[in-house]
Amino acid sequence: MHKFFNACLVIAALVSAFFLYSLEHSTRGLERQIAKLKNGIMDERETIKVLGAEWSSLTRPDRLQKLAQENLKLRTVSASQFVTESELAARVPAEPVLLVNEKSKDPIADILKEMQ
Amino acid sequence: MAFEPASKSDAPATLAGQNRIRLIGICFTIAFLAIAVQLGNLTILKGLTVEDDALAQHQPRLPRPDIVDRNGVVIATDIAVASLYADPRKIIDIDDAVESLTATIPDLDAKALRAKLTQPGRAFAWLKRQVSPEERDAVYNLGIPGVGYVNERKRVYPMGRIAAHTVGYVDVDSKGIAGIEKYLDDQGALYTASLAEPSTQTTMSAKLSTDIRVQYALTDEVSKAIAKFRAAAGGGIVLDITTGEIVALCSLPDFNPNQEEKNFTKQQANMMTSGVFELGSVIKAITFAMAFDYGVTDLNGRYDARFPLVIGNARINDYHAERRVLTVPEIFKFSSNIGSAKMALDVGMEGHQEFLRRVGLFDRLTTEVPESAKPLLPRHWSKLATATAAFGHGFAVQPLQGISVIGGLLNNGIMTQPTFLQRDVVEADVLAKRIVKPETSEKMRYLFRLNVEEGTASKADVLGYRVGGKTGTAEKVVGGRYSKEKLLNSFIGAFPMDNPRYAIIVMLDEPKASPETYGFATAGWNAVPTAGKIIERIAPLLGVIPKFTEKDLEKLAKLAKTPAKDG
Repeated sequence: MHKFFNACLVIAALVSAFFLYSLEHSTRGLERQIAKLKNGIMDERETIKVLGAEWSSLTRPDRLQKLAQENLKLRTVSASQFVTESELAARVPAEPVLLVNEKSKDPIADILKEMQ
Repeated sequence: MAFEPASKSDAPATLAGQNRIRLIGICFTIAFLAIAVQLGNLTILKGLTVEDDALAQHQPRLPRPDIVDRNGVVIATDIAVASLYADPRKIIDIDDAVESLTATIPDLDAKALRAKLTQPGRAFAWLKRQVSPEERDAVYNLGIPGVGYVNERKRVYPMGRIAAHTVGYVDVDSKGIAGIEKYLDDQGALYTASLAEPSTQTTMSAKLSTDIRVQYALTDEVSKAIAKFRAAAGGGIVLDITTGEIVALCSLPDFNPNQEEKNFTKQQANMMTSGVFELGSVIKAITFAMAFDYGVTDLNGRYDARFPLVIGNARINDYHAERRVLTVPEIFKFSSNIGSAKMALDVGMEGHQEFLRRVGLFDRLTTEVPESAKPLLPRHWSKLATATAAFGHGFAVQPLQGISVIGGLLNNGIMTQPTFLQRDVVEADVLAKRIVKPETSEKMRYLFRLNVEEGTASKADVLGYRVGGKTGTAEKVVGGRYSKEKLLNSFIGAFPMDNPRYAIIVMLDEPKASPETYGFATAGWNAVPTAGKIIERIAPLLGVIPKFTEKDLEKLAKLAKTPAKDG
C-alpha cells in the first residue's frame, strides 16, 4: 500500500515537474513575444512622431503659401464670396451642369476633358 | 550495555518516539504549509503588483510632452535620433570599414574617419552625431563589427519661426528656457504631470490656444508691413475675448528655435509680453469706458476743444485739432487729447486710479509664458498725471495687457485672464471678471465701429466682418523728450462688432512715411491697413460669418465701379 502510494507520489511529482517546466518554457516564449511587440510598438510610436514632425514641417503655412503662389492662381477670399445656405439656391445655374449616367460613368472626367 | 534503560517495558519508549516523530512531522507540515501559502500569495495573488513595483524602479524618465496647436498640428516634438559610434579595437578590416561607411554616408570624410579609426588604443569614437533613421539602418545593415549606435532624444520645432515666441525653446539637456517650454518645466510642472500616462510610457500633448494658420497670417502681414513702411520692429496679437485664449501672437524680429546656438539678441525677445509701450491714443478707449461707467458723460455729451488745456505750466493740445466744441463720439473719432483729458478730470484723480486698478492696470499681467512686464504708471498721481494718462502719456503697458483690457471693455464688460493654453467656456466663466457695466460696453462697441466706419481707422474696414477699432500714434521718448519723428503706431480692434469675439492689436515701431502714404506716418496709414489685411485673411479661418449692412453694400457697389489698386 505504502509502496503504491509512494510510486504515485513520485509519478505525480514527475508529471507536475514536466508540466511546470513546459509551462515555464511557453511563458518565456510569450514573454519574449511581449517584449518584441512592445519594442515594435515603441518603434512604431517613434515612427509616428517622426512622420508627424515631417508632416507638420511639410504643411507649414509659409511653405504652402509659397507653393500656392508659384503654382496656383489663388487670391485672398473676400467676405462677399461667402454665401449662406438659403442664398445658395439663387446661385445655382438653371440648367444642371452635369447629368450623371447620361454621357458616361465619370462626369468629372467629362468636365476635365471639356476644359482641355 | 550501560546505557540500556533500566525499565523493562519498551512500549512507552516507542510511544514517546512515535509522538516525537509526529510532533516533528506536524512542525514540518506547518513550515511547508507556511512556505506554500506565502509562495501562492506572492506568485498568484500579488504576483502582478510585485512585478510592477520592480519595473517602476527602473522606469526611464517620461518623455517631454509634445506641443500642438488648437487643431492638433505639431509645433514641438521629441524625436529619437541615433548617433553612430565605433570601437576601433573591434574593427577587423579598417580600410574595408572606412570604404563601406563613406559609401553609405556620403558626407563622411574618408581621411578624417581613417585617422580616427587607426588611432592606437582608442576604444571609442563618434562617427556621426544625430543621423536620420535611414542612415542608421543603412549603417546597421552593413554589419561591421565594432560599429554601433546609441539613441538620443532631440527636441525639434517643425514650424520653425512660426509661433516661436509662444512656444519658446529648450537647451541641450531638453530643459525649457523660454515660452511654454519653460512653463512645462517650472510653474506648469503639475500641468505637465497631468499629461503623463505612466502605464504606457507616453505623455499627451500640451494643447495651445494658438491656431497656427492665424499665427502665420498675422506674422506674414506684420512682416510685410515692416518691410513696406521700413519699420524697426512690429508685432501683433489675436485674442479670443470671450475665453481669453491667445489665438496668435507675433513679435518681430523673431527667432528660429531649431537654431543650434541659441544666442538670441534682445530685439528678438517677445515684445508683446516682456516689453512695455506707451500705446498713446489707444488708451483713450479706457478713459471713455471709465467716463461712461462713472456716468459723468454719455454719447450725447459735449466738451469744449477750442483751446488747449492748460494745467500748471503744461499745455495739452490736439494732433488733429478741430478747434470747436466736440461731441463725445467726435472726441473718439478725431482722437482729441483735450476732450479725453477733460473727461478724465471730470472723473477725478481717485476715480481714475480706482478704475485703472479695477481693470488690473496697476498689476503685472502674468500668463503661462514667463516673460512679462509690469505696467509703468505715473509715479506721483497729480491732476496733470490724470489728464495726460487719459490719452496715454506717461502710461506704458505690455501690449497683451492692453488688448486684454480693451477686449474686456468690448466683451460686455467681462474680462478674462489671457492664456496660451486651450481653454473651454466653462473654465473661462470661472476666471471671468466684470470690469464695466454692459451698457458701457455697448457704448464702447458703438464708438469702435464708428471709428472704423468714418474715423481714423477707416482703412481697417473689411466689408462684411464689422470691424471696430481705435488707432494710436505714440511719440517715443528719446532722451527724456517725446520725439516727433520716432513713432510707435498701434491699432486695437475687434470683430465682428455686433457680438465681438476676436480682438486684434497690431503695432509698428518707427514706421517711415512714404509717397504711398502721402507723407503720413501716423497709425491710420500703416498699422490700420495692416490690421485690415490680417482680418481679411483670418476672419474666414476663425469662422466669422460675413454680414453686409446697407452701408457696406453701397461701399461695395462703389468699389466695383472703381477697381481698387491692389496693395
